[in-house]
Amino acid sequence: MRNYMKSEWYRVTRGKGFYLAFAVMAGLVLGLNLVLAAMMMGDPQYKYATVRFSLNTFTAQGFLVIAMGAVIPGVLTIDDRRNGVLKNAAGYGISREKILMGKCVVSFLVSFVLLLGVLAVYVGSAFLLLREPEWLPLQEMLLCILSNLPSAVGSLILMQVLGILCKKEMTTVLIWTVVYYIVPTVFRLAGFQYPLLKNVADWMPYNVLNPVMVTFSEYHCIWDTPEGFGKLMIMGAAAIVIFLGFGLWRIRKQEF
Amino acid sequence: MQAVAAQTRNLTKYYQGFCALNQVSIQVGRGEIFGLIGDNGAGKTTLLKALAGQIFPSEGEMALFGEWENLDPMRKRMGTLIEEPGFYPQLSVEKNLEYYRIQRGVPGKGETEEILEIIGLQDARKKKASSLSLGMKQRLGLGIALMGTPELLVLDEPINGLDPSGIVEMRKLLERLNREKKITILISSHILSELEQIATVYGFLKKGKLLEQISAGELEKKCADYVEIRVSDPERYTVLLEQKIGHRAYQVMPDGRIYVKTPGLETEAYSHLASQGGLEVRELTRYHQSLEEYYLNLKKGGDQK
Repeated sequence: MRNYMKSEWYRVTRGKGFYLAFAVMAGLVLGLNLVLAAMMMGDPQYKYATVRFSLNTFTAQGFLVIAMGAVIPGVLTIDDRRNGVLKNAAGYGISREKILMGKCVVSFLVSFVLLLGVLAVYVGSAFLLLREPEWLPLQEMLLCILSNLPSAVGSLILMQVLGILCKKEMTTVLIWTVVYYIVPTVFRLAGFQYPLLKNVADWMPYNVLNPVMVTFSEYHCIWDTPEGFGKLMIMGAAAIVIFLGFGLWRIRKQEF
Repeated sequence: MQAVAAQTRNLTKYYQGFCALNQVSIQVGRGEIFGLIGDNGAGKTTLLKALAGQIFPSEGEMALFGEWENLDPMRKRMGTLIEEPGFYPQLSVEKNLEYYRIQRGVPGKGETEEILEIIGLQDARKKKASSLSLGMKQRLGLGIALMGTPELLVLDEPINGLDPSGIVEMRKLLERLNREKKITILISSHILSELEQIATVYGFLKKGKLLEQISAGELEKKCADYVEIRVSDPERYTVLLEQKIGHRAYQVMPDGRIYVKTPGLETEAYSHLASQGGLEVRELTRYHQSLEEYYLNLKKGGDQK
């Protein structure tokens, strides 16, 4: 499996997708801070041109961490099956389980490296370009990432499993969307009628992270309380166990 | 050294009730070039995919290098090119080969260079794989299969999409790999005339069933040419055949036709023999069965069964 992981790492870091993903994400956050800085030049008292506003834009979207957990590996590996590289790996005697595990580990590492890079650009440019530098928004942002990291890994695993199982990329994206957006929404809505379904809906990331409120003066974030933080950890761990277990069971007999 | 590179025993594969492979038993000896012949849907690709571990057989068993149980480690001694070649279209030729070199734990970049030379893509090493012509893609696919110095190459229609000179190059390359590197080759192809030039053993498949496995030598004997001759006096002619030429391998049919098997002389010599004996030659034809004809006849026989 080590050789497989090394080859995947080589492939990802030698491909344009990795650098393109970094350029797009870093460009977006840098663009946000540049726009705010430009507004501040016109109006020195422009109230949104602060480090707090910039970083809170991310913190208020906790689900973004989970979505990115799927998007980055999706961009980098989604067409592996269509390209015929999975059948080559299987033909070389690399077990399906090792292929899945190798892909998950490498895409986690790649995503993590990208995250660190983009964060450096995001936070660095905010502190350099904007007013009122302070540590609390950064602390909240890091806590948001940390508490959603297990769920992001779960989302990444699901994406990889689907990438191996589904022949078409669109099917992969569609199923991921159904699992992470549609099902939680349906459960939440049905929960208004049936309390039991509400209990289930309350353990789904999309529903849990929706009520996160971040304003200029205060934070109402689920990860700020030990119970909330614990819940996110349990949800993430459950996602990892469920999707990895399903993946390992299902791909064992996957034909290419 | 094991004598058998790959073997199947009653290998069967169903796809949603459809039997793609029906109790196929083949044996690919070490050092052989095994040509798999069959129409579309005969089960060639299914058989190759099963050996490569890309699909799982419904019934039966298979062995690689004498191992029947734990096949994955044995597959590390195999190289495969089945259906479309598998590579990353956005990576260059060289990077694709490097990817597989690392995956197969081959140390140093020497093998990538060697393979680039073998497949003749040195000048295209920096080209994106997606921008290659169909023939070059096939060659890259073969290069990937060759990475890690396999002992058994499993190739499914490797000359698909190649131009005539590409076909000749591929044939020569496979012959060279078999001769110099002692690589066993299991190859399927629609182009029987090409297969005829390199295969040492043939397997004929039809509708998922193996009709016959036969060595090139045996096939040559079966396809050996013969002369069909009709003369005014068949009995007298057979005497001349035995006395003048010393040829005893002939058959006289009830209608008087004579089949001279494995004739060693030019066709004209047989008519000359009749003239010498004062016999009238009414018909003289020389036959030689090609692989294609043999396959078609075999298939026809299969149809009648």
